[in-house]
Amino acid sequence: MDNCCDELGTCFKNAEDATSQENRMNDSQFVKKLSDVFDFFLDIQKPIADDTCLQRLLDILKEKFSDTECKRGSQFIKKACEKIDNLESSIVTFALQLAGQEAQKEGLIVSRHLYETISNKGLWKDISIGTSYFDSLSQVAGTSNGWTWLTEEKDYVEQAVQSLQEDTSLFLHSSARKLITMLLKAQNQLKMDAEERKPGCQVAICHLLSEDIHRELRQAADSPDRPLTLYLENLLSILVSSEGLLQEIYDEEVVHNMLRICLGRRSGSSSLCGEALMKCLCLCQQRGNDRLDDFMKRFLDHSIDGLKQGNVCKYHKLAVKIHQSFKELAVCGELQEKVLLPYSIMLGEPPLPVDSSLLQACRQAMMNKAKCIQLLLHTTDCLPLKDGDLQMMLQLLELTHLRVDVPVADHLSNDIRQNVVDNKRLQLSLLDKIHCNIGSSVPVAIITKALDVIMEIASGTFTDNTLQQNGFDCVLSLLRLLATAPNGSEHLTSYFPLVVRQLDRHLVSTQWENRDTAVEAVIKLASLHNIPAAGALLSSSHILGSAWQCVSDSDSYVRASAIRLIATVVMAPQLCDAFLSQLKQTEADIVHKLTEIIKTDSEAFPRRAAVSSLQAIHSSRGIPEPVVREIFSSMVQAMADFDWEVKANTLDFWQCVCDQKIKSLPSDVPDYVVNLLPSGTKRKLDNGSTLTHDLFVLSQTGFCEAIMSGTEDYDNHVQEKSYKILKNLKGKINDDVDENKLKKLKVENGDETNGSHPVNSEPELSTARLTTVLQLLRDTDIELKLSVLSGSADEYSKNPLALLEDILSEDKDIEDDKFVDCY
Amino acid sequence: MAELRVTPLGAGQDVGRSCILLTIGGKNIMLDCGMHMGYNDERRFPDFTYITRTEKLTEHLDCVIISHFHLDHCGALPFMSEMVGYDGPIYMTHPTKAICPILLEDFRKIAVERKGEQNFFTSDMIKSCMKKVVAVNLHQTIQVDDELEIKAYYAGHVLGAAMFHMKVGQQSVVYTGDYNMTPDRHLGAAWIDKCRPDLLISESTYATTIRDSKRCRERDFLKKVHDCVEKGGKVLIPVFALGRAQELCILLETYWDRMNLKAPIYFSLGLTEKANHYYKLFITWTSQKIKKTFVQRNMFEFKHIKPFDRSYIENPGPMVVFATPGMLHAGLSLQVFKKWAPNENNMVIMPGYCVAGTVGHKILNGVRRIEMENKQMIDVRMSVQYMSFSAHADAKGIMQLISQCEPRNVMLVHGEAAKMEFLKKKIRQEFDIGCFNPANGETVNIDTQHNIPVDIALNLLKREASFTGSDPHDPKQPRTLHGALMMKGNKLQLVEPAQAFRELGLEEHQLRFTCTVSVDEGGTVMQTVDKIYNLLKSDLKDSSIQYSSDGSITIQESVLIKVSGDEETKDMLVSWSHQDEELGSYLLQTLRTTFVTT
Repeated sequence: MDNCCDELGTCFKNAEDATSQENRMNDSQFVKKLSDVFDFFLDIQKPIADDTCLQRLLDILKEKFSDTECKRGSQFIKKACEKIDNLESSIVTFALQLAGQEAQKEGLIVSRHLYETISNKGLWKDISIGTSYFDSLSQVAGTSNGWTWLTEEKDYVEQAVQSLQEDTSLFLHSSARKLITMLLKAQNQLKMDAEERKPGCQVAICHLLSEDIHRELRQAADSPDRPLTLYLENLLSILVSSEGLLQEIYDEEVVHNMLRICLGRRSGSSSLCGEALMKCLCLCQQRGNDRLDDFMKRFLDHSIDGLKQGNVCKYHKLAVKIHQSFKELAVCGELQEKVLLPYSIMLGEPPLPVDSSLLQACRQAMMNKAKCIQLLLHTTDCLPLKDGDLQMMLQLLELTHLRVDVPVADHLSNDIRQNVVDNKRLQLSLLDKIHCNIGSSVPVAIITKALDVIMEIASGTFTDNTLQQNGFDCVLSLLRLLATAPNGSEHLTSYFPLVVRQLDRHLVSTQWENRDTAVEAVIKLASLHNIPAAGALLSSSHILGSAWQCVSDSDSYVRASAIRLIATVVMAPQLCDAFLSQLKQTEADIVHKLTEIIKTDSEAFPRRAAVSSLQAIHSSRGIPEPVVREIFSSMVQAMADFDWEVKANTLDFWQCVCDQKIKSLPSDVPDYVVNLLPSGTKRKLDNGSTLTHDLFVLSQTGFCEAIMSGTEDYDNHVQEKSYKILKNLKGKINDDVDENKLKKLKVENGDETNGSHPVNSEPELSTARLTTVLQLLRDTDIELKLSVLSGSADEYSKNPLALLEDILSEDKDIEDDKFVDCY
Repeated sequence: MAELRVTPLGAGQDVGRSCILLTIGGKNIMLDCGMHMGYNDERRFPDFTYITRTEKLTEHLDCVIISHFHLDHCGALPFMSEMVGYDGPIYMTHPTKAICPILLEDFRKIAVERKGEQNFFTSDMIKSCMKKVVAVNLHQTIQVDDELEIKAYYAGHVLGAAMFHMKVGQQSVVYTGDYNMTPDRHLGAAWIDKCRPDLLISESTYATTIRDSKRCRERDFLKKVHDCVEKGGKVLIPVFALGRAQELCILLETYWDRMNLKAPIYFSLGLTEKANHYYKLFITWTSQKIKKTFVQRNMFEFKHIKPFDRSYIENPGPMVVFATPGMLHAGLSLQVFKKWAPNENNMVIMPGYCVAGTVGHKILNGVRRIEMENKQMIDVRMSVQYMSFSAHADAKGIMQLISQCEPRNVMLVHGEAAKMEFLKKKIRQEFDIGCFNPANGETVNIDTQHNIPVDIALNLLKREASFTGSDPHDPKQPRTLHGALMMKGNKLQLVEPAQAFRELGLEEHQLRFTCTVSVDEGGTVMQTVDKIYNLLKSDLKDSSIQYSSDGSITIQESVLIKVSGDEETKDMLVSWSHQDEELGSYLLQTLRTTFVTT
């Protein structure tokens, strides 16, 4: 035994040596090829056809940057600097990105030269080079040396600021902003680490931006009709992501100007300015509540002077944001009244004590459809879902549905009301809010009211599918609440048939989307079975049977959903029994149907669902005896499916079977298994060889055939899953399978697989396959196999050398006809 | 001047990850939402943070339009709708909606195979996403909201591909997606109305190429396949589930029939079986020939092409196999390739582009020894052929489309920068219109003319016509028309002032300007009046001038000239209504210069 271990140890050591030698060889090949690639880059005259390979090379070099490769990289950057005027633009950007990576690992010595060259020659003004340049410098800014260098060399920051002022490219702006933000962040960190350290050059960045921010804000606030400049948008973007800069520029004038910009008459939103203002207000609060109160006073007064229909939406949006962020404000009540104003106007609530000019402006704004919806959406967003709010929302939801009998407030203009009728966006927002926030404390009366309204909205034959889906989600949440609420069961009894009737109607809709949503809703409804009141109603309802009929639907998604229903139903034995009796079918019939689907359905979604449902039946209720052969044989066949996910789901089934069979004790073996076993094996059940018995039982199910098919599959994922099951099996055997055990197995079973007798019968075949599986377990290094299979199928991840070869092969003239077109 | 804003997040001077942001009349539209297959991290999708970083995408986008089912145009859609959280409207044609999930499932599989990939969507997410899609018919005008309307036109390229015409008020833009101006075996040529959009956003894959006849390529393909099977070799054609696969199947099916060939042709199934089903279902979207022959025989009911079983790989003798995926990066096509590659009698035909990092890309680049998993080396001795059957408009086709729809500006996307530059020059030269080719992230602002339509009352027009008399104005020259401008609902109307007064229930008040010119003029008053009359008659030939018995002169009904005075001096009173202010001022000036200076 010791000798054996020694041999094994030596063997492993040799293997390790061989691998490391091979790795070294590969590395040296890689470095050599890398040099060739870098030389190739320096000489190319036209862009590489597919420049993703440059990005992929950078990715590889980022992960794998050993000293040698680093040296090659540095040499390349140096040469790129020398030849910068003749270098193809994509190679300059590549060199810059490489320089960024190198600076992070090796310091600035080489990269710095490239940045200086690009800077001196003004190449950063080119959009793609500039984007990479600032990206690269951002990487440098993340290192402490780099940050010091960049703050000392003011040119780079000035270039970034200059780029932000020009209407060039979103990508360039983003990179330049990133550089400035990185520098400011690092500066802020440094300030926090050592308060006294604040060299003049660091102040300069803030100072430079601070002046510009003040100026730009002032100009924008003074010209409320003009669109915000791109530069201001960029500055605001930097401001919201840099705490330090915000602290530096914060003063009352800034806040005031931001407020004016937010409420300006210009078209389009000023969301960035709003965000910056909110950050300023947080800072304001940190520096004392008095200041915030002062601001709020001004803000609330703003409604009096000059609030017009045009900016009421902006004012309201800001009010909503402040209301959400500063709940503890002294003026919270007053603010809330302003926030609720659109709802109040819409629902004809008693006039709020808000000033008449605001009321008038808001009412005027709500005459315009887009503004009306915007105001109502903002209000809905910030409503805390208390009972009163829920009632308001339900009233509003009712108004969105065109019905003649809805009482409308006398003073409500018909124009305003028309604006919300059938507005899908508002309806979705309200339904979403109700669905996500409704709680158990809601009184039954409100729940029933909500059910009435929502069912009305979701019931239309031509209702949009998203609306229908959200509507059903809401209805099901409400039913669940009703089922658990005290005195709710009575109402549940009356509402349940109404819901069922609606679902019934949608199950036969002409749109597959609606049918599918209805089946999904039935599945969710079935999951209420554990609530006694709902369980009884479900058992007596025909809706499960109706949904199951969709198994023959023309659309594969709907068929798959109907099949998935089975997986939910089998979890509840009582429900399942009721379901079967309604259908006048046995469990075996359902299993038969599922196996038929696996064999015959032309599309993969139903087959995937059928396999999963069979697994659910197997693990929850066990397989009905009459169909046991059928189910195992169809699961073996499913392993030859063309869809990889059908096979993957099937392997989940076989994993379950394996777990179940191998842990079984002889006394636990179900009758059907005993019946299936060959007579020779039955005798051996008494001889105490549990493992042997279990393996034989397992082999009779078709497990070995399925798993062997999986190991040879052309889909890596299927192979990997199969080997995982084998690994698991090997773990259960808890012992290495040796030659003696195999021989014993053959003798015990009377199996002669050595060729002297042909293997004919099914049990014999199974036993032969078991032997093959055991041989596989014995002979295959499963760990190694799994490590290969779990690797990426991506050619370059597997073999980075291949990438270099591909880049070099670009050297050859590409045929004119070879286009990057589409896929 | 109104403005159009266009920013490509993808497809700006490149191919893959098509995603173009368009702002038209204040509405924000995303045109396509594609992915780039060359990446396996977040770079494969467009960076949606450029649209908004803090708020929901739905707040910023009014709708998303998908031109066709290729992954570089729709691959990021479930990611955007189910993971980023866009829940606004998505539009595509019926076939695209039906076929899109198949391609997305294909992509999902690739993501699983690549391992370690994060942020890829599930099968359920694809379904949820598709349920949100609004399917449109060709030439059906869809009202996205009160202002924005869209209309789809046939684009060829692949089944269900469409060009979209978007209109807000008077501004309009056409986005072509990928299109083909020449019909092929299974699809017709792209066609669009003469809609004169402000901007045509056109793909430009073959911007500098005039493609040879597709028939030549087809003949070449059939000859190569025939030669190979005749020598007993096997032909592998890696394809994606849809598109080229169907076209090549029709080609081979017809050829096999004609030549009475017996070698089997197989098509690997899986999800692709659904693909052929859709080609049968959407027969109206295919070419005229297929539609015409449909009654006798559906071209997609293949007689010679049979489903493939993987056990056939080892079968001896010649055969042709269509297998997925198309870039030989995984799955059945790769397995077949591994088996057949070492035999020099065999052949692989790559009918489309392969991204870097795939076996397809390697062999197309001439690599003949490939390392597979577990260090297994494969010598590629089989013949490797590349035959592009992709259906894009070439330079001629692009110019043809521009002539067809007469845009005011053109923007080139989905192509290589250098080729675009060439075509851009040509478009400017030939059509004398603006042409742009922004890179990704660059924004192009295009000014458009903003006209306000006004309805004109018939009687006003009749009156205007009657003034012209026997000497009609050139109808192409602008003319001034007087009337009262009224706003009725959202429309403007120009009517007779009297009508406006009537309709608005207003009382008419006249505002008149009066001025008196005192001159030293000898003779009687009547002599002076005669002199003025004659002066005006010769000066205002087209105007009606009336000489009243009381000695006053009326010009154009509202201008009145009255003379009073003695033998030495005269007072000339000129009075006019505000409508004829121009004429009144002119007359006053004429009298002053004529009588005061003399």
